Amino acid sequence: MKKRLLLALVAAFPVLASAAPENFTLDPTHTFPGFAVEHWGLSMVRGQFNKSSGKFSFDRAAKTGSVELRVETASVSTGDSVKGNRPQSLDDHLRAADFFNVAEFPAMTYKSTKVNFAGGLPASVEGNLTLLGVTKPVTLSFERFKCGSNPFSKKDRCGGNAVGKLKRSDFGMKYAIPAVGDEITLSISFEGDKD
Amino acid sequence: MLQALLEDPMVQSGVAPLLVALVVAGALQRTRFAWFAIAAALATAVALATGIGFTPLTAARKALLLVLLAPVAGLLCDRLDVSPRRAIPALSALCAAASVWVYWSVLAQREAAEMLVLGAGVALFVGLMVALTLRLRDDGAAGGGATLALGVGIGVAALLSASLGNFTNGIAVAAGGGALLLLQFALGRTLAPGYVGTLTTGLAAALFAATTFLLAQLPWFGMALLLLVPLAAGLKLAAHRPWRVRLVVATLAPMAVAAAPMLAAWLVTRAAVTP
Repeated sequence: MKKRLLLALVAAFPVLASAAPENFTLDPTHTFPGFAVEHWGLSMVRGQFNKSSGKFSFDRAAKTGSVELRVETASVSTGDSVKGNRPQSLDDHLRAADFFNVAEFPAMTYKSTKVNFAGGLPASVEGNLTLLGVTKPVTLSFERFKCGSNPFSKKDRCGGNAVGKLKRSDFGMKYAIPAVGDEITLSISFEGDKD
Repeated sequence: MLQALLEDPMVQSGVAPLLVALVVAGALQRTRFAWFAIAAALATAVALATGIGFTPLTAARKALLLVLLAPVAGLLCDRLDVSPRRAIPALSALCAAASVWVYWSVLAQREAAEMLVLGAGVALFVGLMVALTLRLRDDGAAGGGATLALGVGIGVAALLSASLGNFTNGIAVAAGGGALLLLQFALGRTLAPGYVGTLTTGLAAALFAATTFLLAQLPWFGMALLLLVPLAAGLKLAAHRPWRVRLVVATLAPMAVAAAPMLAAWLVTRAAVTP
């Protein structure tokens, strides 16, 4: 009886091992939350945040997972950071109270509530975005989610691109609508090493 | 066509608030409520630019909320006929204390020493601005001139300091002051601002300037220079001249002084130019 139990445990070990959640820490040098917004109904202005941190985990067998992301709003960058002879650059204006209000809200955060799977890998994340002190649900879909190994550290590494949409007015960021569009397209590129 | 017009920033911050303020001040000219025109002008600008809403209750929205409530508190002081010896220090201290509440979420992000200096400095500025402006409560020319000049000064300084929201607020306050000056010019008589007008102007000027200082790039000395505007407006430069001449002089003097904070913001902008 004891022998049978032992055999069963040994046989089940690989399954139990693969069912364990895999935890990853985001690599800030390869993780860039970005956004695009319509300007005057003409072009799409694009920007990104250069400083962010967080972690994610998923369990392929149990099809569960989680994502936590913290973005430093003062790190916003659109490529227009040099004001030259103008009173302000676009980045200056985005940091001011009209938009990201970084002096009052230095960070925005995203915390998942559910991770949906397709083919053994995460396909989308449902969660809550907190921006300017307002928390609203935002769903992110993975355009790609791949896993491999870090060629230098040999650690397991996963990464991809997540996209989503939100209305900035839902978060109280109402300045210059509709000249600067209300709908924001989020695009987050990320990579993380397994802990 | 109308929608496009209402989306124009100059219409939102200047033209529409001026028209609304003229209507409000004209309709209420024989009552104590004429100076509600400033709050009406500001509310119009905010409604057109972003919509009036107070959630989340950010520092900028707290400031707006207090400014819109200021004429009600002022009216109460006018109705109760409170002695200025008691009302001015009390209202100034109250506004200074309220500024700590307004900016607490910003101050709390700073180190303790910096928080203390910024909080105390802003509270002192708010208290002084309110006290200096309340001194103008019996003089429609000085009150109107100060409101116009403070609004323009803050609006232009905010524009140079990366805060278009406070540009809108400042120009709207200026539009309210301009409407009251125009009406007094047309009527040929003073409309005393009372506590209604001067508390609104003083608190609006103080909080919009402080918001631009804390949340955008207005230098502290640009903010401090704004205190000279109500001082200049209070000078009895043409006290014995005809009313309309007094109005013009009482407008030009603070407007000239309001150039100082604008210049300060511009100089800082120029100094910070990077190649």
